[in-house]
Amino acid sequence: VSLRRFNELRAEEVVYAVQRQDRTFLPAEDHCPLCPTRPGQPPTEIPFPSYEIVVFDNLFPSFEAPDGAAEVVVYTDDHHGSFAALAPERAQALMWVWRQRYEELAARADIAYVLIFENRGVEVGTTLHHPHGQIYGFPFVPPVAGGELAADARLGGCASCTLLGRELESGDRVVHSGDGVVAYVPFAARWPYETHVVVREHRPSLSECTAAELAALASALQAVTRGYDRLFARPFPYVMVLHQAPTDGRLAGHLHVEFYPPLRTATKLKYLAGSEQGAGTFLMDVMPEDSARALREAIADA
Amino acid sequence: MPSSPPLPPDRPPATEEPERFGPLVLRRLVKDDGRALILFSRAEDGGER
Repeated sequence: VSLRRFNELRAEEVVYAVQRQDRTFLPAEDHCPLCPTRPGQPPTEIPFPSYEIVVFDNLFPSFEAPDGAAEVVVYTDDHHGSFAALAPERAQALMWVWRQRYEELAARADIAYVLIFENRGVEVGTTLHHPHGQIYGFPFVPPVAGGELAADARLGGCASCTLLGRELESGDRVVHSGDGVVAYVPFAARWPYETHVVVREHRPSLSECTAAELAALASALQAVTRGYDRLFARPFPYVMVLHQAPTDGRLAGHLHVEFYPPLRTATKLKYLAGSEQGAGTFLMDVMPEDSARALREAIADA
Repeated sequence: MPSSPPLPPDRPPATEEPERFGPLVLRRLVKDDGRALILFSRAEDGGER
């Protein structure tokens, strides 16, 4: 069972999930808990010899009913795959899986915010290499989502719509432009290759998207992740997070996906150090326009 | 890890009736330790809601 304490100086909740200390950590491939259970082999989390996409309750949850949820989303039964390498139809199916889980979790009274995300690479703390993401059902609206709602109020409307308009007008940082979805390195990026993938129309969540928009979102996300892998000719670590409307009754927010990649070069990481942690101010070594140019080329070549 | 001994793969656990969600078919089951698991697959007719 997780515990929550309110950190007064930061004005934020801290979650203590001490049972996660013993979670599975980078197991050998033949002990991967996300692989199918194959005849004659040790059982895994998934009792089938093959599968397309599977969602299950996390064995080591950060949140659990009746005070939230923690789920694992396994993208494929191919241990060596990746989100970028999924067949397009599988990536599109994943958008619908995310939508189904968003809607089901949103209907629960104990969940105020649904966070869908993927941690890719040991650089961002992944503990299982098998391609997968996670879903947290927060029993409260977390600070980043709250900050976006505050930005809406500050800008006098949907902040994402405003920022998307500015990015399209400039064009300097746009790295992918699809029918229903645009990807760009934001004006004030906090990571060297931070990228936002934004649905053009104002859609608070996956639930309001058309099938064509979900397909465009899948295509844009794969374009970005393939571009990332192309950029430094190596598997590119990232944190990928869907930002959607809170599920506490407010129809606010604008569906978009943010990537926070820690690499600043092929071999060097951007660390959160004194200024970032102690002052809350990010210091950057590269201008967003320059990283956008490199990423745009990588996406085109991928 | 894993926490529970799943059923043999040649005998998949009993599930409720498949559900439809957009172009997907869902099969829900409960693992031996009580955790929920959902299998998602694309519907053969590819239908969308």
